Amino acid sequence: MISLQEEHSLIDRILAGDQGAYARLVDNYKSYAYTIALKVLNTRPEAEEAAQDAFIKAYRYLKNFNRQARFSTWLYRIVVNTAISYRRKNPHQLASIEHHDRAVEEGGGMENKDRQVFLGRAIDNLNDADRLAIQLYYIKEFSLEEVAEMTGQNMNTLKVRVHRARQRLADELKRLLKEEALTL
Amino acid sequence: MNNSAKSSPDDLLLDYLDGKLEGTSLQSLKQQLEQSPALQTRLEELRLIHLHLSSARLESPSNDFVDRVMKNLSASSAAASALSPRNGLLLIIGILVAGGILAFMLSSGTFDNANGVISLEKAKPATKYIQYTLPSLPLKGKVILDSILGIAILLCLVVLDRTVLRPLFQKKTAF
Repeated sequence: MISLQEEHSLIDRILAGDQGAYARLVDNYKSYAYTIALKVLNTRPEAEEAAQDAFIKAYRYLKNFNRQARFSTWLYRIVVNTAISYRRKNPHQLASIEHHDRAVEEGGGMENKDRQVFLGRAIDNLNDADRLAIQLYYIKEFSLEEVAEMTGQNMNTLKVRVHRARQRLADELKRLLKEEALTL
Repeated sequence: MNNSAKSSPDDLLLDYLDGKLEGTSLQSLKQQLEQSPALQTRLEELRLIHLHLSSARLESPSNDFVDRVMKNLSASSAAASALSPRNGLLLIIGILVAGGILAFMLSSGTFDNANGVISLEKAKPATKYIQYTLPSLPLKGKVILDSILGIAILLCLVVLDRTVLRPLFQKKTAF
């Protein structure tokens, strides 16, 4: 992780025409940008493309970046908006392959895997704003302020949204498990 | 969060799972949990969600991610430097001024008599073995200049789209 001072120095060098210095910034934030894009898009190739596109946009508009804010939150906002525009172009690619992958990767008993799949399905059933808010909220590397900035909401609205989304998830999981039990 | 929302059992349970309850609020919830099996069940349901979501982690992109960004950046910089919005606007203004002058001259009838004929006979090779006559093509200056004016307007629209409108919309969707 680079310090704030180093970040500002890199930005100065980039603005002075040193394109190579941008590679250091990209390397520092690539995982964050990719994770955000993945949470919006749910598919790895598209998330990678959107994250790359976001870095190119950030470079292009770097001169407009206000130094009062953190570069990270400014970049994350660009990533969210870029990923959302990608999803608008391909709305059909919403199948939650990631949740299933995660369930298989984590292993555990059959009951645990089933529960993971059900939870993945319940998350998919949330509306876009709730799903994104709750997924970013739980990534410990992102602060509440950063998630609020990324999703364009104030912190109280975000907290309420995350609470409501978790309530809905619990209700949805109960319903899915009940339905499943009835079909057995 | 408002007070009514705070007082709902679900919100208290979620605050408890987030580790935000302390002091008397925490003691009060623990007492309620001991006395209410329904509240215990709800806590377990919410805990399942909390545990599942807490497993979220940072994901890593492909190993050549940085290289690909830098490569795309070089390509896009080269394309962007070809015609900046400022240069695009100057080009559009230039085309419009030239087009305006042309349109004014056309409407004032300057080219009304600019008609002629292109005789292909002059281009025929001078040989005594080929005996044929080549046709002549009518030349209407006004039609040609109308076409040039049309192409200029089309060119203006393309330049406007590529250098001004598209970057503007891209910028708007980026933030």
